[in-house]
Amino acid sequence: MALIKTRARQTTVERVAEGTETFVRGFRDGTLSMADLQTAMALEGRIFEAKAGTFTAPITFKAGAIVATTPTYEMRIPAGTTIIPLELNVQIESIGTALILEILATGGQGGSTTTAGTAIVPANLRSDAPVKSVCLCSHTTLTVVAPTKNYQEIWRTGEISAVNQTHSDTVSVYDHAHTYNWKAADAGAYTALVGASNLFFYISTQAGTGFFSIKWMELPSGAIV
Amino acid sequence: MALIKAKVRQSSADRVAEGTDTYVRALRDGSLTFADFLMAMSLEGRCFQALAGTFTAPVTFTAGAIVATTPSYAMTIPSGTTIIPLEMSVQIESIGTALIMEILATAGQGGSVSTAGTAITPSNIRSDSPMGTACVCTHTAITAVAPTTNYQEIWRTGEISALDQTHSATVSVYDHAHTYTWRAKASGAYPVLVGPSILTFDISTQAGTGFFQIKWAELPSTAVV
Repeated sequence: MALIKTRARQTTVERVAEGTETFVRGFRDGTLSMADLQTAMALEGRIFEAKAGTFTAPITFKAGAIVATTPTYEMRIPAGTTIIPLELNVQIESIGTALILEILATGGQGGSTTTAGTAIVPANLRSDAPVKSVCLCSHTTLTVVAPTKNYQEIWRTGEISAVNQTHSDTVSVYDHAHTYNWKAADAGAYTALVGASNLFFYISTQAGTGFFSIKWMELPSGAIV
Repeated sequence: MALIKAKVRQSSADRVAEGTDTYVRALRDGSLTFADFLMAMSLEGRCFQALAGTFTAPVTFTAGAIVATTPSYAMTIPSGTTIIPLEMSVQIESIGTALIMEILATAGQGGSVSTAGTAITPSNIRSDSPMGTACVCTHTAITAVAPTTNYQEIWRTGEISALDQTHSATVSVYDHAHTYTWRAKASGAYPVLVGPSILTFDISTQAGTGFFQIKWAELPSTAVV
């Protein structure tokens, strides 16, 4: 019976060329060195980011309650492409007066974008961008048709009532980060949007402004289905 | 004795057809790549979601305290099917006046649903939905018999006293997301519900409304037991 051996390369690493056969890296105690798929995909250049709001210039979110046909962000995943959303992040800069705060990300097939908003050019998380995203993304002032097939809520959060609060040395107001974040790796349920599909992202407060970013892994559907 | 070797595919991955033999993928330093089992299940199409409350139309939760026989959600896992709950999330839209708030997910064998509520059609979180679920899911106006064998509490949370609070710019009110989430991955304790089993989910406040989502991985029991 063959024992499996690995080569101890804890501090003297060999890094060989693409396509070369190499010994599996081990630590001196025999522990295998592992890289999760998301890391491998980032190194390959297959993870992307779309964001809205730049540096100190936030965008304006939907005023009032969310509306199915007018998300803050829309993303079209074309036939032949599949994405796995990895992270959604919202940073509120201003809420407005007291009203419900709603955040909802949905996905599915059968939806469409009637009117695109401000185009977003996705960035590759690998800065030399060896691969381009084929998804179309836009934000703000857009209209869509919600998915009709296999509709899912990827993430829903919010507050019953949220408001801009005045902080001072003397007035007792609960002081916290107005950041809302979802991660597929935390959820353990990885949504796979097989194109043609849509992802819609809704953010609303009474008169909200802020920033959001979305990160995803993108592959040809032929690698999955 | 054989040393393990792998093919370096850090930035030029081979993606072969189903059933084809392929080299184990490695980064240039020999680190093996690995994918989370739950991502593999999602890509295979074996993860599902049931949700109640759609977009801006919440459901009404149980008023008062939770009652074992009237859960907000019931899920029947038939003989021959096994599920692993992955995530449960509740978004409260309205609480009502001050009273205990209770959230409890239970499971086991020997329970049953006497009166089904509103049927839920689960969605596959892979948007082209290569397979359906065998589980039957309903919400609201349910009567159920609690499990009698191997009863477990998957998740219990709540507040001693919760109520809708008036927010203003200056009045000190704890301002937070009214989202309650359980994740098997974070827990590290994965419930394995071998059918026939039942999963019930109780949500109650004084006069609560809101939304909930449940995600799970599903397999034929023969793949598990």
